[in-house]
Amino acid sequence: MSVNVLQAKPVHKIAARRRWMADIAELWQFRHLVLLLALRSIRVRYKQTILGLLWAVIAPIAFTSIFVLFFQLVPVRPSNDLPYVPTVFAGMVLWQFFSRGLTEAGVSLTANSNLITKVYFPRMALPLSAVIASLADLLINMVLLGVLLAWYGIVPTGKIFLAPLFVGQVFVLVLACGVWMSAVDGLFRDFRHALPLLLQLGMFVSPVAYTTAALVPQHWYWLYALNPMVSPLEGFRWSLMSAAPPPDLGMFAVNVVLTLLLLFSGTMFFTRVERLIVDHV
Amino acid sequence: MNQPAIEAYELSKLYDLGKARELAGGWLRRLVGKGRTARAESNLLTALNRVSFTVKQGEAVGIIGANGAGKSTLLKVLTRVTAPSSGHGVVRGRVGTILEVGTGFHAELTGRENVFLSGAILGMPQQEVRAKFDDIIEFAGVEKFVDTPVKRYSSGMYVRLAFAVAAHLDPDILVVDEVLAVGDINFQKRCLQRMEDETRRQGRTILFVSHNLQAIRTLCSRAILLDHGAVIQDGPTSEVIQTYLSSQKTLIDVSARALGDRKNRTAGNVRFSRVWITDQAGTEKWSFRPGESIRLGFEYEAFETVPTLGLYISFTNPNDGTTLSTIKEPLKMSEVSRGERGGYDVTIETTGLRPGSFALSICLGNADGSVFEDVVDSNVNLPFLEIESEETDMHRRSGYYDMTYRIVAA
Repeated sequence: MSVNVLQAKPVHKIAARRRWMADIAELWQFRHLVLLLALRSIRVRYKQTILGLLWAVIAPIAFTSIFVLFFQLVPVRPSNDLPYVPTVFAGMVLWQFFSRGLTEAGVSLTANSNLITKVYFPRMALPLSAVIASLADLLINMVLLGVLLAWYGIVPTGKIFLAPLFVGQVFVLVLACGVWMSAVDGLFRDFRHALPLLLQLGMFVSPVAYTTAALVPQHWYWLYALNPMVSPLEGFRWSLMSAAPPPDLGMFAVNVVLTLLLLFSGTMFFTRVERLIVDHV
Repeated sequence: MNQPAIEAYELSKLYDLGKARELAGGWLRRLVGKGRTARAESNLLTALNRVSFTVKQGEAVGIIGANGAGKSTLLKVLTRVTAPSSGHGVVRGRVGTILEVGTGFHAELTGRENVFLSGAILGMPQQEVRAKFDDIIEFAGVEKFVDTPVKRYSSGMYVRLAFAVAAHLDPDILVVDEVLAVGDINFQKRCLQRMEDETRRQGRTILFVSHNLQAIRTLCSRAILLDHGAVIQDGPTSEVIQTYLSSQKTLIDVSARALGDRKNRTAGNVRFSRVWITDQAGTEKWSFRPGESIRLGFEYEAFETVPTLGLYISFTNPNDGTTLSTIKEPLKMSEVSRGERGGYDVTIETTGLRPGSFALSICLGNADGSVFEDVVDSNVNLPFLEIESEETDMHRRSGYYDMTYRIVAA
C-alpha cells in the first residue's frame, strides 16, 4: 500500500542560506508530532511518584498557603474586599502555568539534543509541545480552583466565558518567552541558572498574591504595564469573581502588544540560531 | 517524473570548533573586559569538501570511508538535520532517516506509545503508523509486551522494536546510518532482507552508510567513497570497495599519535612505535577471507626500564563492545631496559570466524597483567579488521563462529 502515489512528492531544497522567519506551514504539518511530544511529557512527568498527579497542585497550594499565612500576620489588605484565598489561588494557578511552561520550554532544545541532532523536524515543535504539556497541570489546578470558588460561594457570571481569552494570552506569552529561552539556552547555559530566580522575582512583581488596585499606586501603572503578565492575571480574576476590578484596558493593550512582539522576535531569533545550536549542542 | 531523487552540488560543511565557545562567552567576556577573544588560529574542521553527486530514483547507494571521512555529516546535510556551509542540493520525495536505533524512544513509555512517538519523529503520518502497527509489533516479536514500558524490555526486545519502526517507514528515500549494526545478528539480517525486498519491489531510493562492507555489497549497486570530506570515487560497488580496501593504511606509525590518551590510560614506560597487519604472504590489508591467517606486527620502544613485558590483544564487536576473544601472553620474563627497542610478529588464524567487523585493541604491559604500559585501538584510528565473505544467503552464515555439526536422518 502506497499512500502518497497520488500526492505530489515533497521537494526539499538544501542550501546554506538561513530563513529569517519560522516556517509555520511546516510546523502545522508536524502537528501530530507536537501533540505526541506533549503527551509524552505529560505521561512521563509523574511516573514512579507516589503522589502522582497531586504534584501538579502541590506547588500552587503551598505558595497560596504561605501568602495566606503571611497576610494574616501583616496588617495589609492585599486584595481589598475580595476573599483572599480564591483571589491568590486564581493568580497562583496562572502563574504556575507560566512558570512551569517556561521552565520546561526553556530547556526543550538541549534536553532533546539527541533528537535534533539525529532527525529533522521543525525544532519549534519542542518548545511548543512543552508549553502544551504544561496545560495538563493547569487543567488539574482549574478543577481545584472551581471547587474553591464554589466553597466561597462565588457564583460565576457570563464573564466566565472571557476566562479562556486570558488563559490564551498567558499561553502565547509562555510560548514567546519559552521560544526565546530555549534558543538562548541552546547557545549558552547561563540562563537556566538565572531562571528560577527570575521566576521567583516575577511572582512578586506580578499581581499573583495581591491585586493591582490594592497595592500598586496609580502613578506607577505605566511601569507596571511593562510586565505582560499583569493584565491576564487581573483579567482572569475579573472573569471569575464578579467583585474583582476589571483589568485596565490601556494596560491590556500594552501587554498584548508586548506579548506579540516577544513572540515575533523570539521566533526570528530561534530561526536564526537553530542551525547553530544543532551543530554545537 | 524521472528527475533524480537526490542532487548535491558542491556541498561543503565546516565546523568551527571554537564558535560555540565564542558565542557562549565571547561577547560577555569582552563586556567584562577580561581575556582575549581574538584567536590567532581558527579552529575549522572541514567535514564535507565540495561533494557533488546525483542519485536516481530507485537506486541504492552505499557510502563508505574511514571514521571521520564525513559520511554521517553528508547524511545529516541531506536529511536537513544540519545545514551545509556552502553548496546546495535538492531531495525529491519523502525522506525517512534511521540515524540511530530508537530515535525518540522513551524508557517510561509503553511499546505502543513509543511506536507512535518514534513513528511521528521519523516522519510517518499518524494513520500510517496505525495501519502498520500490527506488522511492526509482529516483526519485532513483542506482541505480549505491547503495553509494558520499554524499560522493562530486554535490550534485545528494545532494539528489535526500535528497528521494526524504522524498517516500516516506507519513505521514497531511505537514509540509513550504521544502525544495522545493533542488535543480534539474526535480526540485523532480517532487517537487511526487508530493506532489500522493499528496494527491489517498490523502487525505493536508499542511501546507506555502513562499515559493514558485506551489507553494502548486498544492498547497493553503486558506492561513493569519501575521504576527508571529499568524494574519492563514485562507481560500481565492487570497484569502490576495492579502492577503499587498498587505500587503508596497514602500517601505522604510532610513535607520536594520541599520546595524551595513551598515557592517560596506561603507565607509558614502554610504547608502541609501529603497528602493521598483513596476510601470510606479506600483503598489507585489513580485510581477510574466513580461514586466512592474519599477521599482526608491532615494534616497541622502552622509555623507562621495566621488569617484564607482556602482550594483550582483544577483539571486540565495534558496535556493542562485546569482547569476542582475547590474547594474553608474556613476551619477556627479564628486564627491558631503558632505550631498548624490539618487535614481534603475531600470527592469528581466522579459521571458524564468521564475516564481520572486529575492533582491535593492542596492549603492552608486564608479564602478569598487573600493569599496562601502552594501548592502541580506536585512539590511533586503527581500522576495523574485516572478515569478508562472498556468501549471498544471509541466513546461512550469521553469528560469530562456525560450529561443527552433523545431520542424519532419525
